[in-house]
Amino acid sequence: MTAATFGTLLTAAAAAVAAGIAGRRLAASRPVLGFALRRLALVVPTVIVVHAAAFALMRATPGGPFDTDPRMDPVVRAELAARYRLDRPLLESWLDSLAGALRFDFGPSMAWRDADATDILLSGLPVSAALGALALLFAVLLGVPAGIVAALRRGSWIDPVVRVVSSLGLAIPNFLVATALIAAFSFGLGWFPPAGFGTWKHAVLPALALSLPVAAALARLVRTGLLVELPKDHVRTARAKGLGPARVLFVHALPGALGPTVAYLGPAAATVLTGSLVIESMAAIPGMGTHFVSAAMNRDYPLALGAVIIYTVLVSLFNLLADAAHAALDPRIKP
Amino acid sequence: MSRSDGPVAILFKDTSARIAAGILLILTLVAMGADVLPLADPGAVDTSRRFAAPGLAPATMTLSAEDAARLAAAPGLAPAMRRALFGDTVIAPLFGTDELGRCLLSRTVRGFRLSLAAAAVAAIVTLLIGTTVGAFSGWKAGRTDALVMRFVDLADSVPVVFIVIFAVAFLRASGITDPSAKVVVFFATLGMVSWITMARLVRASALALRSGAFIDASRALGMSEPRIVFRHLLPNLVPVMIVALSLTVPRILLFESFLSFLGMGVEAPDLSLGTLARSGFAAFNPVDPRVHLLLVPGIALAVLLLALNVLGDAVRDAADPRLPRP
Repeated sequence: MTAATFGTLLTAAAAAVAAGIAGRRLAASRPVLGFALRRLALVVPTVIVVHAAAFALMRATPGGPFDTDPRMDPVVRAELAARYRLDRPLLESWLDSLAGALRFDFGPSMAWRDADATDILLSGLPVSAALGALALLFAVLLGVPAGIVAALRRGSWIDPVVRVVSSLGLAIPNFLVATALIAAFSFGLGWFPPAGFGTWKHAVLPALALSLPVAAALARLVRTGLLVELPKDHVRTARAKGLGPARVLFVHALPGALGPTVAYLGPAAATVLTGSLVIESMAAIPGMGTHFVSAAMNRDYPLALGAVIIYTVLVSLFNLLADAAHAALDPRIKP
Repeated sequence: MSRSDGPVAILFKDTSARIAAGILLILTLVAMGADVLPLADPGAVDTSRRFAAPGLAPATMTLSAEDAARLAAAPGLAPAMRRALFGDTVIAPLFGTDELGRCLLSRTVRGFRLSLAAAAVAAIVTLLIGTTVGAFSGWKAGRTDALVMRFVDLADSVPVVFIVIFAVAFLRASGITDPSAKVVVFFATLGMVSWITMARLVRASALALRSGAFIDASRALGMSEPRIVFRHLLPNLVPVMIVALSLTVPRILLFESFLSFLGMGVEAPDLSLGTLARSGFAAFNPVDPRVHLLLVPGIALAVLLLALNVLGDAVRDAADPRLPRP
């Protein structure tokens, strides 16, 4: 074990413990901040667990990443193994790899021999992030108004339509939605390109396909939340003192109804990230999802591991933010 | 509705739940009876009819001589029943054919069967792990519970898709050569990453039940702890297990199709709805989209998931005593 490895592991452990202790101290005076710090402390053990599981599965798989070429000279293969530190004892290479993961330094890629896995992932991250952000935006723009209208117009034809469409949105797999969108808007109408990435037009159809299940879930959550909130006394009072319907809805009814919706945005981010594995591969978008899928197929250990760690951290952070926002909105929630 | 109506009666008062249950029953019967029904051999290649479009005429055909001979030679009860019931008649490719002229209807039924098997195996694994962890944690309560639940929180933040993809890579290279064993291990892996919901719900229910009067009474009667847990606690956890399954099974089905679509799940010659959609997407192009290859397995999956979701919603409503009844 090198000094750098030892230092990283020690720093990460110390940071996690410090965040945990600080979070506990702040629990009384600043509950939301204290909660966020305690959850932040959990990110380090999560990364360790995920890394250990992925590492164990990769290393337990028979055959190495360089066994695909049977004509390769054994000497060359040994050199390659040495370059990627595959010849070290298992414990040492695990600790080295873990420390690298905690520093976000995943080492050289095995498939693209001249590139660093971190650089490849960092080139894919903005693409995936833009796609994911656009998908979440579409989901909020589609789902929240649909839920509001369904709740306000309960009993009219709109409510059952929203319920059926949202059930369909949860039931239809992503790849089918994407194909239908490509067939309609790309092959049929020619408005958007079917695949590739570069301009904003490329992102519209994949983001729409990614957003639909999230929009469906949001519509259901907003509708249920509002149906509980609308008959409450404070909403009636607001209406009775002569406030307009928009003010009653947005200032008095919605804030109380949005708690579960805000908390759902954490799982929503996970849904979008998972979906992007399929959608990116389908539409040939050079994001992290495409890199991960090809890395897992080609047994490019550093690249696959790096993608998993980045996804883990992203999902943890999104869950943390969503839960903290939920706690800040609703003081009854004890984080 | 009388007060004495049980949850099952409440459930089937709901029309949409009845329809969903009926659809699920029919689909399951078709999938289980696939060998009795006069379906074409899902692997029978006929290059004279590649990419045939769906159509209703003709509805039935006669088996080719070699297929008839194969059917006559097939051992077992199901082929015998088929011969007795339908003779040499076979349903024409109503849903069209794929790139090798294979009947898409028959392939979809087989794929459907495998997807259902995936859900069943994964659900059993989910039940085993989730109930054990949840019931243990809730029954022990206190420090043990806090510790187990922190572990569950940790497991919950693991991005399972990635771990499953690594597990699939491991499975592919492992020594398992029997394809059906491989498929079962893959399904069990899906279950192994889907038990969190089950554990959480069962734990909450067990925690509430453990201070119930009937548990105190059992203890006062001098029953041993295992007897209380297995005879009195577990039967009372069954409703919450069903609720958890209604949430988990659709997710497992989507997960299976998603992985198979990526080419990381079920492998040829096995068929699942995901692998069918994958080959449909491979044939998808702007000149001749051949959408039926994607639509047929996709709609089959969507109908299955929609029926499961509708039934699941109704099950959760029926299991919730606080909800006002219409």
